[in-house]
Amino acid sequence: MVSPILVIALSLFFAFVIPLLGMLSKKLPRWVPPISILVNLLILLSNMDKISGGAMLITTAGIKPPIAINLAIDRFGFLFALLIQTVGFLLSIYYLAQDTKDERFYMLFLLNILGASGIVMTGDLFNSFVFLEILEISSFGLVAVQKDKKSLEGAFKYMMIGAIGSSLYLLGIIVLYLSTGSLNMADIARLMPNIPDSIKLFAGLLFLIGIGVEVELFPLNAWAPDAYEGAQDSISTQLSSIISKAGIYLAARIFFTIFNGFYALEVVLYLGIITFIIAELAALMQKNVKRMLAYSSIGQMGLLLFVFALISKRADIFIFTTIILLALNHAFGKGLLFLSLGALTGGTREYYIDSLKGSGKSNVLAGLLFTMGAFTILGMPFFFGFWSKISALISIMKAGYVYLIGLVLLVSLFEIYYYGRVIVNIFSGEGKAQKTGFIYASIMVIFALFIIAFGVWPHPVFSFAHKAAVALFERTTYITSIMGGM
Amino acid sequence: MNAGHLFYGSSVFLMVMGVFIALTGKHLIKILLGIDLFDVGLNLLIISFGYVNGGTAPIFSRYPHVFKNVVDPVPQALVLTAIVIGVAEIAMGLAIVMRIKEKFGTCNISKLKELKW
Amino acid sequence: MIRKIVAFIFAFYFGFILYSFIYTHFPFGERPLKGVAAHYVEKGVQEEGATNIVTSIVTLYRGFDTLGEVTVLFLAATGLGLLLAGWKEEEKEKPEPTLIMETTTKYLFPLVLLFGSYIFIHGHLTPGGGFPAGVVIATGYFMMFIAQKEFKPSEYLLSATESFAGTLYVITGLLGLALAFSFLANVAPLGVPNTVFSAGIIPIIYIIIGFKVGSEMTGILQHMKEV
Repeated sequence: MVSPILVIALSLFFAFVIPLLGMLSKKLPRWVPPISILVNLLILLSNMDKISGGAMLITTAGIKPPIAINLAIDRFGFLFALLIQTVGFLLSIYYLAQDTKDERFYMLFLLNILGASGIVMTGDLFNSFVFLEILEISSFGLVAVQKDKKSLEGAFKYMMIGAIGSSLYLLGIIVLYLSTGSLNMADIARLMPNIPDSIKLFAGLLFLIGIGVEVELFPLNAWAPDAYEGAQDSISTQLSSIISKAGIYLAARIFFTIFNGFYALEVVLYLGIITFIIAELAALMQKNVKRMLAYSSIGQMGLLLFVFALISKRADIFIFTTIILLALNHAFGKGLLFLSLGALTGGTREYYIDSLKGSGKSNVLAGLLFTMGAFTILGMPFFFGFWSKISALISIMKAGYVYLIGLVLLVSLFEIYYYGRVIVNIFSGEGKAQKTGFIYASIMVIFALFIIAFGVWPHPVFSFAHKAAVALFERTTYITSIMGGM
Repeated sequence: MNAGHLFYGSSVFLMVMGVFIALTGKHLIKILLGIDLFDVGLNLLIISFGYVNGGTAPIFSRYPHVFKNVVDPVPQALVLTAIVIGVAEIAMGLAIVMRIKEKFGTCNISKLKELKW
Repeated sequence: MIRKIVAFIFAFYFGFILYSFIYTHFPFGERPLKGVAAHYVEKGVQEEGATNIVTSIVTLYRGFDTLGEVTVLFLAATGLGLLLAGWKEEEKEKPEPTLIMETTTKYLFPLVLLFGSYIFIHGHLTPGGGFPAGVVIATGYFMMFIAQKEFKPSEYLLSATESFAGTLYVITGLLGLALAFSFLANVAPLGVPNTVFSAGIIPIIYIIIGFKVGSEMTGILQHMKEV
């Protein structure tokens, strides 16, 4: 039996080893992230059959929960862990082909992936805070790694908001600890009915602020456009495909499993729809394509959070499934968009819409892939986005917000307009010839293949997502599988 | 006036100061200090949550004689982690500020206008 | 000005809500030990053999957190190094340290290191442990940075200590996985409580942490000083 805790332990081991390898040879460190993440993927896949209903319990320190920290992986967490490791693996291959960099970059990258997978695997609240911090601090470093004006400014803003947000998250954990005497998620969930409502409300709001920073909820998302624009393209991919997904997982785990449908989620309902509208309007006005993608990303997260908050109206497995589908679509679609935008600019970091004129003609592959990414975000048929958008609309209807469907469709028209404008622009006029390396191109193609495969054969994804949603939905199974039959 | 007002009050006061400085500070290092002050206040608050009336430190130095009345050891362990994380955050922030000073030639936050919508 | 007033009102309001909330729900000192805390206090010494309960929580019960915590510090040290790499050094007039400073620090330095190692070796018996000890050691180096002009610890050695201690920590954890089927399990004999050679792997972990934190903090200080 291969314990899934090795995913975290071995990544840490590899990250610590990088400087030692770097002393032997400058070429070795760049091979560490792909190997490490590949090993992680294999470990995860070897455990696939063992995770059925309920959560898989992995203790540390040889003591049962809630006394010691434990990992708790159910199908929902497993799906996110797979997503994170897959995107991480593709990106690590991308960094393999990049010019020689400081070896410390690879450590930051590996620890970033580690932080995200730790969040989705842990069964302990305070442990999730530690991993959240690993994720955040490595993200500041990764955003700032370019060391130019834009990236530094973005990183500083991210740091400011992230630091306050995570402190409040910690305060929320402490409040729950004081009222239950436990830090274990399942144990707290078990004791939740005994907690007075006022404490629940206070702790819930603190968690909302803490996680709101990660999931780019209005008004805590001021950092997001700047950090996305400042970071290099692959890091923007990482921000949208990995970091915000870890945030979504954490939000689901805390508000569904622990709080059992926190009633202040109604706040999220309104904030989510406000985020969606404002961000899409802001994207409409952008001349800078990368910033436009950033706003579009925030908008998608807003829609996702809106659907997420619908649970407070009606607990339905279909809505849980929709959250997962939207998250998957956003991870692959936005990842592809950021990467192909990078290929279109040819690494010049000129993202203005005019300077991209004709770049799709000289680099047809990148242009086509950008179009595909845009189509899946827009929800065109034969792309994965179609299914996730349809499910989102059905979920909204099921929760009884029929009039909001019109609003979502209207905002989608904006999306069609601004993505269309960019696509038309890159395929018209003459541009200078750009070349994309083979590895870079093949990574983008893999992203696109995921989108198309999921779009044409949605059934496996749907059933996988459905199983994950069931795991999230049945919180008593989760609790008993961790705490035993108490 | 009991001890609770003193401990809770002073740590909340530090947090309020931290938020205020972080919101109004113009100098980047001042903002970082505000964030740090907020962290420090929070850590003190967590420690004082763990106090039990008349309790001693959870160290049984005369084992096997075990004290019955000790303070809660868990918040202390958590704060140890939180302090280290705060240090790491501030160190990272200082590095970013140093680079900002080099590139922009200023530490004034209202002069950072590279990114605007 | 308006900005300041708004910020003041916001901060004050936040503090007011927080204070009134905690004061009504968690009155100071009146919360009995319950849940995991009660378990740690009652059973901690039998289970892990360390008389300092906070230590056994930090290194064993919540040892996984501590591993993460060490990682965060490692992350800060590397991130700092990455961000400040290739800094163009400006020629600045640095004040000359006086003779008194130079001589005293020379003799004080080994004592500080000795004190630091005392703290981490006795982490399971007395207050302290690996983290404070590491910081004490880094203070010794900090003193030397200020007072000795030519003092410069080898960057390779620092980075190697850091990585080596980190890998050792993970290996200690994996040993638990191999022998007791649980990561970071206490596999070493517990010994007699209240003696130096007791508490299983706790002293080992604290020694590793002491080295790691010491080298990381020194590394951070060195990077900052070179600028």
